[in-house]
Amino acid sequence: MTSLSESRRRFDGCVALVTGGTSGIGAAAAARFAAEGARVLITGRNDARGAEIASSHDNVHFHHVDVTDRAAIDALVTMIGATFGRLDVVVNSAGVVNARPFASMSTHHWHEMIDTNLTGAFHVSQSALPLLRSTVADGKAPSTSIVNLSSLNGLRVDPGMSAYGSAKAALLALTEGTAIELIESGVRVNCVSPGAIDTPMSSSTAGDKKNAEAFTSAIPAGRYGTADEVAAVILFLASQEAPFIVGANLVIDGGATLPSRHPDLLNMFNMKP
Amino acid sequence: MTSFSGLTVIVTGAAGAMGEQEARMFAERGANVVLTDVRTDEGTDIADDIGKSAVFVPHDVSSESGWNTVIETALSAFGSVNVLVNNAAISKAIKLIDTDVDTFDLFYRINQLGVYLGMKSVVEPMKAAGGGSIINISSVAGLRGASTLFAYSASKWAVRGMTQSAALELARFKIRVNAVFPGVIDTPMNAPNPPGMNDVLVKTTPLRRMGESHEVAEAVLFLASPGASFATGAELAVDGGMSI
Ligand SMILES: NC(=O)c1ccc[n+]([C@@H]2O[C@H](COP(=O)([O-])OP(=O)(O)OC[C@H]3O[C@@H](n4cnc5c(N)ncnc54)[C@H](O)[C@@H]3O)[C@@H](O)[C@H]2O)c1
Repeated sequence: MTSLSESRRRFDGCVALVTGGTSGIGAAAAARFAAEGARVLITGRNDARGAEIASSHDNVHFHHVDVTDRAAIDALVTMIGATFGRLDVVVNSAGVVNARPFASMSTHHWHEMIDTNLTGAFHVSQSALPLLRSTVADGKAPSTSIVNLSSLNGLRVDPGMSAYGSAKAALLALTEGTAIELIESGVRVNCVSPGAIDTPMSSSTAGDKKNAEAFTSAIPAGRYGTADEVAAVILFLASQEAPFIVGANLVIDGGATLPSRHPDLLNMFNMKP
Repeated sequence: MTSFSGLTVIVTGAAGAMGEQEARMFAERGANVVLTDVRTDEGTDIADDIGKSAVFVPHDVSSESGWNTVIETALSAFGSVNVLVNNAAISKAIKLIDTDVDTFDLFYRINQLGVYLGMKSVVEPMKAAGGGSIINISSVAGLRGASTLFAYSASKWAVRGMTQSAALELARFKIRVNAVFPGVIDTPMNAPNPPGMNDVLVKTTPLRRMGESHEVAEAVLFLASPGASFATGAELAVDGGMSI
């Protein structure tokens, strides 16, 4: 992990809700929010990992919530309101990814991708909205913020990713639509689109080592990113350092979405990473 | 606080509103800063005010030999070049039908050629430093068409394109190249706009206000920081939602 030692405390007194906070990018973001002074609630479906992450950080609390379960989300938000009286940040990081060829894709797979990656963010954002708004209206924060996690696949879809990519592209539309509606009440909505990041999710798709090398060679930076590098971006967008940033999508992919990346072309000009 | 201690940052157009803010904030967070601008008096005053960690170089960004002087000054004063902010630009509301060739050429030379020369000049010193970070300031007019800013918009789209190509080419040297797209920011650049134009611009900004220079500067500093170490070729709009 890159050393990103920053001694700032941009989230003192704040409350942050990170869905999918038991793993990968969500867990890294939760750790950073807590290190910068926030009280953090992480949600996920894996109780063992949730308990482990909560116990290794002060001020990180785990709640077993599936983002497709609206009643459970509403109950969690009610609890946050009653306990803390405020909510400053929502990070929609819960997601699932599986590659499936379109021709043989089951309806079940399609729904799984859309329900968790897209509809989950809808449920959590809408459920949390009154509390995000009242935190601003009560003068507790100049603005509150939602950060959605889309993906490189939301911009440029890889083979096998038509369902996942559809959900992630739609999440960009959700970001823009909500950004423009919610800014009036002081809720900023932005999006981060990570490329190849070294997390349990990416190793599930990259597969064997040879495959991983092929992936790496398509990244101009010549390596995978770390979950912590994405977390740093999430915190910046959620912080009061970004008050004029509304509806933005920040791609963190080591340059992978840039055009003209064919390896043969790079060889021709002696430009291998 | 993210520390830029020990790093040398070049900011062009640093006598202007955003450039000054960026230079000051980099200096506050420990960096050495090289300020450049065609406005020598203002630039010198700002560098003097920042103190020992700042030098001012009178510099027209469209001059290749001028860039040599900037790099030599940075190296002799501080020993390295780690960050470049291509911020200098001119702006003027002129429609296509009123734009003559000389005007178009002037926008091209300052806003486009200047950014290209800046990026080219820092490659060798950044390679020598083991990597670096370039932040190009484009504009919302580089993401969308702009009905009254024809030449400006063309030059800012060019900045966007050059950012992507340079990011691809320079990644192997660990030089990250990213772009920031400010919306309507409350700086002297918008002062000469025709009467009423700024009100209209604010109305088309979902946040319903102009941005402040420091809000753009924070984004620039973030992209230069270790927190953005996997960001290259990225495009960050700081525009109150204007480009949605
Ligand atoms: N103010 C806005 O609303 C806005 C919006 C979008 C983008 N931007 C961009 O942000 C950047 C900074 O703008 P600002 O608002 O601070 O403007 P500004 O006019 O206050 O500053 C620009 C500076 O660039 C300098 N400059 C001009 N020509 C130069 C040359 N040939 N060589 C060196 N320096 C030169 C000027 O002297 C000035 O000091 C510019 O790139 C601008 O296009 C501004």
